[in-house]
Amino acid sequence: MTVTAGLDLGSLSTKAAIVREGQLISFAVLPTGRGGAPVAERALEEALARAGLERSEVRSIVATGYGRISVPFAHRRVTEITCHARGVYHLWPDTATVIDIGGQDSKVIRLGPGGKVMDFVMNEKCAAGTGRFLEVMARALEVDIEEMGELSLKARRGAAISNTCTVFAESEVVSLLAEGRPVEEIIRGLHEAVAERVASMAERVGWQEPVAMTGGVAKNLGVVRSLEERLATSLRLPEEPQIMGALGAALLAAET
Amino acid sequence: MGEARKELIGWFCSYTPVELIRALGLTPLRLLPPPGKTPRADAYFTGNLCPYVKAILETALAGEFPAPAGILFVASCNAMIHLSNIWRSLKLTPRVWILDVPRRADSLAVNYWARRLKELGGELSASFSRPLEEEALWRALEEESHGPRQDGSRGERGRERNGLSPGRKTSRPRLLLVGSVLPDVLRDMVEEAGMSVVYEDACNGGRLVGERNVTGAGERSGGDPYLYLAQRYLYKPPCPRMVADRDRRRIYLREVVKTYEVQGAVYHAMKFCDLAMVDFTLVKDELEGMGIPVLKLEGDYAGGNRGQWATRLEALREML
Ligand code: SF4
Repeated sequence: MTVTAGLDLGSLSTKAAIVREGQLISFAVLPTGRGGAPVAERALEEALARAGLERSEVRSIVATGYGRISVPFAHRRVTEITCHARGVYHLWPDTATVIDIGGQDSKVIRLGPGGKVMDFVMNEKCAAGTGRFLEVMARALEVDIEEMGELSLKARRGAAISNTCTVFAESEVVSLLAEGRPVEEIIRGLHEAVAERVASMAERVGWQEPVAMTGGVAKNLGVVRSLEERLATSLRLPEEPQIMGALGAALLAAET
Repeated sequence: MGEARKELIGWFCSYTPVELIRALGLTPLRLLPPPGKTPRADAYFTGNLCPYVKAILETALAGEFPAPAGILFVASCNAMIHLSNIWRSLKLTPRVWILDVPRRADSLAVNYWARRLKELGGELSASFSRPLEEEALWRALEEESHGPRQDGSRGERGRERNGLSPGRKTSRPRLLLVGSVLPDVLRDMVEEAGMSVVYEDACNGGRLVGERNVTGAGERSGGDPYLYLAQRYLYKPPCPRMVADRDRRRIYLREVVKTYEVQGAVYHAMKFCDLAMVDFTLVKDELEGMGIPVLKLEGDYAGGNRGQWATRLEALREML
């Protein structure tokens, strides 16, 4: 019975996934905080406890995410691009495109036969089109980030947000509030701005259907709807979009 | 004359006909600025202008280039033309010339440019009050045909690489780098990510050292040295600015891929370089057609965001 683990150290959350005989058996998601090995260690222990397993039963560990280098006990490090592709391929082998919006990065990956990465693009330096962008806006609007999706679905139209720069968009949001625009419409406008940004990345890799979406932002139905409208396609959503990188890492660990 | 021989003429673009400078007994010197911030130069340019051009102006304003007697600009792109205008109005060197270069290679372009080169030779010769002998130009052409380009300065920090050997054996994925002036840090990061650079298509790489393999250049006997010079440059490995010469660029890329057994490519696009934006689509199309993935990294003259670059480069290696 082979047990392997995947650890995904993102900027906002750290995820662990445990795989046995090619199937996900448990996972854990913790806030990254100051990050590094201690958080990864805790996430791993938590996921193992849920599965009723001991650390000694884990045959191999793969670390991914921007903090992948800071896990000394990982046997291998693989980029989040390959891991997300692998995780999605496991769920839906015929997926052609993966859109992943995480805390600090967003990426669009084009998959080929066997789940092989054919091409990818990631957002450039700034935070536009990432979870971080939404986080900053939630704070400016004084709403809970988890509520954003639902709130935006109540709006009949979105407020136009012309700035993609997070700092400028934040002051734009403040002015919209001062003008008395309903919060729902502003949030919808923000989601549309994120969708626009990500859709242009998708164009750049030559996206094709079917498309799956991963990463924490996939939990925000508002962004999902805006993106679906923008691309005129429906998105496949994993039950736990946040752990797809960790799942892919655990699956890759089983292959070594 | 002994004193004058030491006079330096600075240049920036791989289309600069250094043989003309050399034929006059002057020393051509490629001025490559060090990477860094450009607070002074920023005052003269719009924000979204080529960081390489800004770095050049910054270094000149700081007086950190060896004082040349003149600069021979090439109207290679809009950013360079802006730079030459500012250079002239700030009188950064006693003399400034700007040379137009056709954006294609055919007999019409060669004939036009040969005439233009002769005129430039005349201007240079008058400016230094010394004759430009055809025999001296032939000699300079000959000298430049052998070995690495002689820049005549030890202070020059360019890395005109001659080590691009087709046979370079490596068990790592073999990478082609494409860009204008490639930042040193990129080469290092490619190696750190577990890949090997086998060829650099850059204006401080193959597009410079490759120019001696002139095909279709005329014979010396009874020929016109200006025609020969024009052919030599217009038929060198084409750079992204040769927008009317895209077929030859495709052929050149295909040859590079075959000769150097390239498996993957990284395109370093200097930020705001519109020529690179257009060229990237050509390179991507051509290489992907050959089954070679191309990664685009955007950066400035000093490099880019290390963490993000590392992830992208590692992901490319995983793809290979
Ligand atoms: S990088 Fe582009 S904009 Fe800059 S000098 Fe070269 S061609 Fe011109």
